Amino acid sequence: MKLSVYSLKNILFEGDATSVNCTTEGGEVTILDRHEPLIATLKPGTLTIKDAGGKDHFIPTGKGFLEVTAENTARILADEPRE
Amino acid sequence: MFQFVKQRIKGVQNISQITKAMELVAATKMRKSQEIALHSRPYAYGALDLLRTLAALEKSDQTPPLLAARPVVHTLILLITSDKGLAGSFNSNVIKKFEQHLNGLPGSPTSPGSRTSPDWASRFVFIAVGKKAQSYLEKQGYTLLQSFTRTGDFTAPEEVRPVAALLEALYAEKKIDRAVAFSTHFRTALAQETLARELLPISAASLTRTINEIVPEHGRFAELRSERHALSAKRHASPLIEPSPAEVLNAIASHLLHMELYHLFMEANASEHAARRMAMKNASENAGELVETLTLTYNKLRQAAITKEITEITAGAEALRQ
Repeated sequence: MKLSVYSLKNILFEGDATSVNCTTEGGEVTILDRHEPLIATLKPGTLTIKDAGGKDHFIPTGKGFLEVTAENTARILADEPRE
Repeated sequence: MFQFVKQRIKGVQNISQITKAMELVAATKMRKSQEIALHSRPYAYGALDLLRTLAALEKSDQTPPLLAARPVVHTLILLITSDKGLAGSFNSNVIKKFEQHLNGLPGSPTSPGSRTSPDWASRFVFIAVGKKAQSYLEKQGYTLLQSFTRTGDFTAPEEVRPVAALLEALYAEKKIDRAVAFSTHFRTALAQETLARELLPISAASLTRTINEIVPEHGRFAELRSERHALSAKRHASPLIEPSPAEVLNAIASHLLHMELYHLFMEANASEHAARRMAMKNASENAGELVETLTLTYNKLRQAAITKEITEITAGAEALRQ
């Protein structure tokens, strides 16, 4: 799936990913390819992204939003993590 | 006598060196703040997109408090200026715009003194951003609710959060029914414009305008203007929404307010540096002209002194010969 992670300051991740793990208000979720459309609010935590090459990326974030669309794209809008 | 002029020439030259350095520094800072502002564009478009998706899905009457308009009794006025001076008319333009706005309001008292009268004052709440706005509002006798200073050359998102939180709280408690910001819009590196922008209630139209304005009209980065950020046209039937559409909508509304304020601050930063660059450029040019005229005076005086000495010597020689 196409994944993009944006914060107000920067583009944190953009590209193909096989999975992304994040903590929503309802609990931890892992989004895989062709996930059904979903909109959720995120709690502060660390995103774990496995990109198309199988490499892991860890991105700490603050509060935010997760949006998965029917076109197999996922977008995460997150605040900078608080120090 | 001409030694004195020489000293002045030196002094002016020193000043022009300083202003030239400040010009270069301001130019670099302007570029940097533009870049920072552009980095936040994907986030801005994403958040706006999310708002639209949710607004289309959420059919109930429960609009989140931040998006709901109501009859205006109390208006919050946010003046966004810089902390430091030496930026030409940057700050006075914001203040001028604000005064024009006040004078244009129905029932506005004409004399500045009566502006502090209780019933007029109770209609407004003032927040100053930057030392210049703070000192202006205090001098005019307006009661400041709060002022935010020392945000530095580049505002960080965290520095905007307290402002956004304060606005949100005031709006939720119905202490204000509308918020207007007076700030500078960075049109191009050479032209800035002071605008009054509606912050609250949040509307998709004014948000879109602010976000589109991030890219300057001409010059560097202007090519990004034509690049379309296609807001996904296809509306997926009904996505799962956690925890609930209303709650997500509430959360996105406060994020949008934070984001819009952040953009206003960033734009004010970029405009401040641009204005300072222009002011310093003019100062350097003026100093150059001054050096030219002073050099001319210096040369004339020096020549006059030499001529005078020669006349004295020849006169002395003449006197001896006789």
